[in-house]
Amino acid sequence: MKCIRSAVTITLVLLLASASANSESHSHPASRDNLIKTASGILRQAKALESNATQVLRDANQLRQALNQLRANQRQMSNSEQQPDFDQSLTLLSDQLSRWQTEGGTLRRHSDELQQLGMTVMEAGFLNTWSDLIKLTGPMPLEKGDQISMAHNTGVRSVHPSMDGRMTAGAETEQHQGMSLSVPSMSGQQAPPDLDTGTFQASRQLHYLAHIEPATPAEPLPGVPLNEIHQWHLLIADAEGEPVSGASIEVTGHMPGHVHGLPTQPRVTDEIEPGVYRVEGMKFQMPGWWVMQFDVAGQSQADTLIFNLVL
Amino acid sequence: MFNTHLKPFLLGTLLSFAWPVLADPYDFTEADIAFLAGFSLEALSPLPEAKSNRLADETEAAELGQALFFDPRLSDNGQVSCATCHQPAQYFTDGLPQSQALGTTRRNAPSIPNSLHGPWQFWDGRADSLWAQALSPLEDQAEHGIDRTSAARLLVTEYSVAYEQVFGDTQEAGQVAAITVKASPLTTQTEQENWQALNDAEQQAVNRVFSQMGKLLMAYERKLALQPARFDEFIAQLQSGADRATLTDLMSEDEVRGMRLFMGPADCASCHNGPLFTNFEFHNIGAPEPDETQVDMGRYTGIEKLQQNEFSCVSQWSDLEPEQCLEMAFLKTQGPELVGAFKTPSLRNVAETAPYMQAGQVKTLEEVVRHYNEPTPPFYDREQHSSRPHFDIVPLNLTETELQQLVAFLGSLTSPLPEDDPWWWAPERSSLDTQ
Repeated sequence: MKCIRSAVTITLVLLLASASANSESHSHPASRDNLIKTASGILRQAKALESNATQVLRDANQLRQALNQLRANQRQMSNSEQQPDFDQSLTLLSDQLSRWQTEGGTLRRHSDELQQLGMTVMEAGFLNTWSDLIKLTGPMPLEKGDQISMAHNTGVRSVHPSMDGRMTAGAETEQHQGMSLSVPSMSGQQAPPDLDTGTFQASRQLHYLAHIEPATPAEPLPGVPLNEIHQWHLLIADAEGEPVSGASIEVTGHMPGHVHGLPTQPRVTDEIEPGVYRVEGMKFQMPGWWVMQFDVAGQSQADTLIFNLVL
Repeated sequence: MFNTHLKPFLLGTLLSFAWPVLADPYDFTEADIAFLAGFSLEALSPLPEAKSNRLADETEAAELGQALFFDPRLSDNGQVSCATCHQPAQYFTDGLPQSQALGTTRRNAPSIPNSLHGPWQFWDGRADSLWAQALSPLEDQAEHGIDRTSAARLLVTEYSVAYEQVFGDTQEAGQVAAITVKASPLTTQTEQENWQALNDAEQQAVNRVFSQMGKLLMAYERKLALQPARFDEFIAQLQSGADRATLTDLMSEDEVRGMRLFMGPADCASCHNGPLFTNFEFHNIGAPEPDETQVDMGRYTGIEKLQQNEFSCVSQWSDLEPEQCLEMAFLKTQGPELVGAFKTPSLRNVAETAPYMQAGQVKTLEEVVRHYNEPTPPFYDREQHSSRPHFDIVPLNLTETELQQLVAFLGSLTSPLPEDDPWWWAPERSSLDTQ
C-alpha cells in the first residue's frame, strides 16, 4: 500500500511542478507572485518524498535483517518437511526486499529532482518579485584580489594533553600543486565538492525562503570584500510567497572545522522594504568555507536559514 | 610511520640521488615564489585610511608629533617620553619584559613601525586607533604619569607656534593655557578633584587638546617605515630569477630551511602571515601566565576597556561620526575565543625585540619556538576565568635542528635601522619648541 501511495504522490507532484514551470513561462502577474509559493509547495513535497523514501528504506532494512535470520534458520531446516514452503516464502520475501530497495531509491531520486526543481522555481520567484534588487544569482564570489589561500588556525577548540591525536600528530600541512613548500592545511575548512553554495535557500522547516547578496553594487557581480566591513541584503518570503515583514533576525557565521566565527558581530539594522533586510557589519578575514546562519523569528514561525559560502 | 610534515624532507633526501635539485632548499617553483611574495614588504598595502584622525597624513602634524614623542616633559617627573619605552635603536621597543618608567607596566612594549596596519592597538586591542592608544600611557601612573591638563597645556604653550600652524588659532588652546592646576578624571586623587572643579567648557577644552596630541603622535608614527629585510631581498631576487650564489648570500641554508618550516610544518604562517607576519587577530597560545594570582584575560577585558575608552572612534573627539565607526558598531563582544587571547604580534624585527609574549615572560626566540613545539595548555583558574580559555596551537614535533632553523629564519626578518631616515630618530633640538 505504502508504495502505491508514494507513486501517486510522485505523479501529483510532478504534475504540479510542470504546471508551475508552465506558469513561469506565461509570466502573467498573478502566477508570477505565486512562484515562490509554488516553490515552497514543491520543496515540501520533496521533503515529504524524502521522508517516504527514508521510511521505505528503513522497512527494507528491517526485512533484510529478518531475511538474514531466516536464512540462518533455513540451514538447520534442511531435509525437513516444511523446507519447500519455507524456501518459497524466503524467495517471496527476498523479491519484496529488492522491490522495496528499488522503491526507496526511486523515491529518493524523485525527491532530489523535486528539490532541485523547487530551488529553481524559488530563484525564478525571487527574481520576479525583487527584479530591481537582485543582482546575484550564482554562489557568492569574493572580490578580485590576490589572496593567500591557507588555513590560519588549526581546528582545535579545547586542548587537553589526553586529546586524541591532536596533541601528538604535529601540525597538518598540505602541498599545493606546483609547490615545493608545504603550507598549513585547510583540512576541515575545505568545502565538500557537492556542497550547495546557492544564495537562494529554504529554511530548515521550510517556513521561509530567502536570498542573500552583498549590498555593495559592483559589476558584473557583487562580490564579498576581504577584511572589510560591508553590508548584505537578506530577502525573505514565507511559504505563501509573501515578503516576511518585521521579523526578528539573529546573524551568526563560522568556518567549519575552525575555532572561531566572524571577527565582527553583524546584525540586521533596517528593513528597506517589506521582506528586504539590511545586514550590517559583515566581515570575513580569510577566504575559505564559511557558514552563515540567520535565525528568523517571524510573526508566527521561527526557523533557521543556512547559507554555505566558499570564498 | 613518519609524520606528514617530515615527508617532504625525507622524500627530498631519498630522491636526492636521482634528482639532486629537489633536495636543494634554494629551489623554488613559480607557485612557491608567488606564495612567498605575499609575505614580502613589497606586498604591504598602503597605510589604512584613518578617518577618525584627519591629521593622520599631514606632515606638519607628524613633525610636531615627532617632537612630542621624544619630549620627556610629557611626564610627571620630566624624565619619561614615549621614546623611553619605544626606543628607535631597538625598533621602538625597550628590551625589557615589562616596561620601566614611573613604575612597571603589566605588558611588554610593542614595536611601533609594525603597528600601523591592523584595526586594534595594545596586546588586548583596547584602543581602536593609534591616537587613542598614544593617550593612554600618558596618564598611566606606571608610565608617564602626567595628567591630561598638564599634557595639553604643554602642547599649547611650549609648542604654541607649531600648534597654531597645524590647528590654527583655536579657542581651546587659550582655555587650556589659562588652567594652572594638574587635573584629570583618571590620575591621582588630587588631580581627579581638580578635574571635578573645572567647568564643562574647561574640561571639554582639555579633552580636545589632549585628543589633538594623540592625533599628532599618530601622524608621527605613521611616518615610521620599515626598510626591506634580507628576507624581502631574498624574495625579490627569487622573483627576478637570481642565481644560487646571490640567494645564498642573502639567506643561509639554515634560514631557508627555517623559512620552509615556518610556512608549513611549524604552522607559524597560519597566524603570522602577510607582509607584517600577523593576521591582526587575537589568539590564545598558552604562553605561561605571568601572574597566576591575577590572570591576564587579554582580549576579553580588552573589549570592555575599548567600550569605555573616552577617545575611541565613537567619541566626540573622533573626526568620524559614531555611525561611521564600523569596527566599534559591530564589535565582537562575546565568545570563548576572547578569553586570554592576545593580538598576534608582527614578527618583523623579532630577533631584535626580545623578550617575548604579552609580559615579556619568554626571554629568547629559542624558548618561544620550544613553547610552540611542546606547548602547555593555558593556565585555567575557575575562580578567575569566565570560561576555559581556548587553546589555538598544537604541538609541532619538530627536531632540535629544525627549531634552530626556525630561529635562524626569524633573524632574516630584521630590517636595517634606517640611519638616514629623520623620522626614525629623535629630532635635533626641536625648532618647533618655542623655548
